[in-house]
Amino acid sequence: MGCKRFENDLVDAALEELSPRRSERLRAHLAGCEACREALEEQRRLAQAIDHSLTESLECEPSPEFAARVRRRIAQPDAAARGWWSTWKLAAVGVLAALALLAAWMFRPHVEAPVRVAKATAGTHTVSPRGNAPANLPARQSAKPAKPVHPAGAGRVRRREEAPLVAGNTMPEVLVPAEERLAVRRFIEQLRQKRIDGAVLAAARPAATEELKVESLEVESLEAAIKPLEGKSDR
Amino acid sequence: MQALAVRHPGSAVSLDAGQTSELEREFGQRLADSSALAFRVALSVLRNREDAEDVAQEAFLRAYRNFHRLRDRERFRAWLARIAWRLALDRRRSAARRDLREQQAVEDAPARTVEDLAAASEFRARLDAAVEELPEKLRQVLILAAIEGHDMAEVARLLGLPEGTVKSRLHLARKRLMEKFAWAAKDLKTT
Repeated sequence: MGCKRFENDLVDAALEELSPRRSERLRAHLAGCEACREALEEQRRLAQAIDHSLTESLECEPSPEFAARVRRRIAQPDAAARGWWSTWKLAAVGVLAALALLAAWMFRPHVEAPVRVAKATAGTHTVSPRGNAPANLPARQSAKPAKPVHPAGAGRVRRREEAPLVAGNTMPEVLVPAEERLAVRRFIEQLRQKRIDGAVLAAARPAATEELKVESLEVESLEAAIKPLEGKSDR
Repeated sequence: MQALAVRHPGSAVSLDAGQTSELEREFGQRLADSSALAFRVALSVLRNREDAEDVAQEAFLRAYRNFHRLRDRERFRAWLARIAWRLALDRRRSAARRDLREQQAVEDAPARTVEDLAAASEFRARLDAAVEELPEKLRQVLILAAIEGHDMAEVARLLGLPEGTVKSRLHLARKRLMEKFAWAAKDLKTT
């Protein structure tokens, strides 16, 4: 490469875009600078190579059948238009169908299935972490796996909520209030994964048989308060 | 042009038989004159002969459908070039996955002369990439100048720009390519 301050001029000179004033200044410099003369020659060759390559890459002719093909396509404009319309129509139908499915899925009735909780004793809910039947249930009943509950339709789910115990479950069932279902589910899940020790929980539970102690109230007789009032009224 | 004797779809203008016949004849002439232009413009964008030919055909089809609306028939080539350019860009975007660019056979020996270097596939590939990186305004001018043999007046007509604007854009485009190809200039020194 030539002198730094003439780099730009050398490129412009190679592209034949140098103003007369700059051209004169460069010519004066080239007279005494061999490196810049070589650099200018390099730049000229490069410009030539780029132009040659660009032109050559675009010097292709279309195939000899090109015009005939265009005429054939022009002769079938309606077919082309129909093809275009058919494609778009098909695509539009597909998109609409997908949107309809999406809308149906998004606006489906959101009803959670009842959580099955085993009831051991009246007033006390005992969760069955593994779904195992208690020892007092028949073996045939306990061998049946619990049926999954699908939130299919509101009516169907409601019927299930009304009669949750008729399903072939291994244990008696109770309904859990809607606001507590998620917590109960998580609790069951934790028990199943053995993150919570059921035995420890059962031991920590206060005894159900503990009696409430009610202290008796002593009520003062009203007679003492009534007598002075009666004396005042006599006067 | 027997095959062109068809109605103009979407025409809001009612043409009598004589006018239609005249349009068909004129369009047939344009088709013969400008096939290479449409094809080359498409090829410059797509770098694939088959795709370029298909796009050029589509450009002519669209030009034909609206030919009767073109008031200044002298602007046909510019109009066609724009249609072909736009269609080619659309095609390239939609076919971005496909990378089937035409490649020249790689020469075993390193390039030594200007002609050899220009023909070398590596140089060509790098040049294509460099041209692609140019802003569209510069790229259009560069491509059309190469197609039209650096006839600035014709390029200005095609783009509907003043000749001075075309000239300055072409200079800027070539200069940017020169800067990117400084590595090649050193190779040329040894020839």
